[in-house]
Amino acid sequence: MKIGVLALQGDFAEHISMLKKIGVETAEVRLPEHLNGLDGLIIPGGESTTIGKLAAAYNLMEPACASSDGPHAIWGTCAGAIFLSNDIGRDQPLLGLMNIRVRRNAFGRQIDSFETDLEIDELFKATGTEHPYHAVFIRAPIIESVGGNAKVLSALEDGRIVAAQEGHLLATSFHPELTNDTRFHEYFISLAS
Amino acid sequence: MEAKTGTRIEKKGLAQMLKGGVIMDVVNAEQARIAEDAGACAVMALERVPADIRANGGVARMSDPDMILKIMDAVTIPVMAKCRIGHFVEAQILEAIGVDYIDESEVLTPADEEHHILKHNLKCRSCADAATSAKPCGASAKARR
Repeated sequence: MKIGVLALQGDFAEHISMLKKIGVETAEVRLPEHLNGLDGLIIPGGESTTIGKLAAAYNLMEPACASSDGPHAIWGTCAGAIFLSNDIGRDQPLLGLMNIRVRRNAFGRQIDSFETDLEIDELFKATGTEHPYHAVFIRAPIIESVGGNAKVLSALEDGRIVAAQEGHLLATSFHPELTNDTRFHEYFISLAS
Repeated sequence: MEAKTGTRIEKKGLAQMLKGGVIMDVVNAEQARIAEDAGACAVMALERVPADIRANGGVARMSDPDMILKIMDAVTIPVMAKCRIGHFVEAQILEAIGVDYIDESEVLTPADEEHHILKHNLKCRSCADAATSAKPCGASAKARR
């Protein structure tokens, strides 16, 4: 099991340290050849416009999408979720792999950033736990709607979607890598294996 | 559970999101858009180069809030702004207009020679304690921690 983390910009180091905590081999992905032999790829938080431009400049867009020799499973957190989606209502580079419509900065500016507890049944089932998942949202996007085979994993009490899954693809508005809770990373590993 | 805002993990988290990116100094909305299009991960809203203001014998203050608001409207990336060292009212104004990140900056004319702003009262990120962030200010900011 080897998981790559897109290391162009953002909090990739935090993802790598979470993966190390659960004993997974990691790799920083900066060039197309770094994608070879990966079981999964994590696209970290950061600025989606910056990550998108750098990914295009380093020819990472196509190889990241190739299902044959590319990573088996992909997970985007915050900016990564935006980058995975196929519709954000504005023009910027997207992988477009997931049938989700995402709105950037949907909760407002940094003063509106928040922490809250989430009920995520799928996650609790997969990890055999029951306690709520404490989620950290930073200038976060929301998933406005899911299409195709994408399903909602978690929503806030008011119904706004904050996590979705489509097969081996995972998108979260929040940042599991900024917590000490490894359950989401464990869940992603189960998708990648 | 009630959602909590302005927590330490939120403030620190924003700095973590900026790592590895370029933060461009901009003086108006047009420059801010150029910076965003070029891939900047944030912009720092400035009126003029503070060193020029001080060299001409002027007092370098927080930038005009109206100009900062125009920059905030122009881009989707985080917007930072500077306030004078120790000038907590400037910091409160920046917080009230909703900038994402406050830089209590040594390049402006210090308002207090002894004390820094008590940053814990602010909900948005204050740069003077950002040892790990991709911050635009100089080494002295780190020394102030």
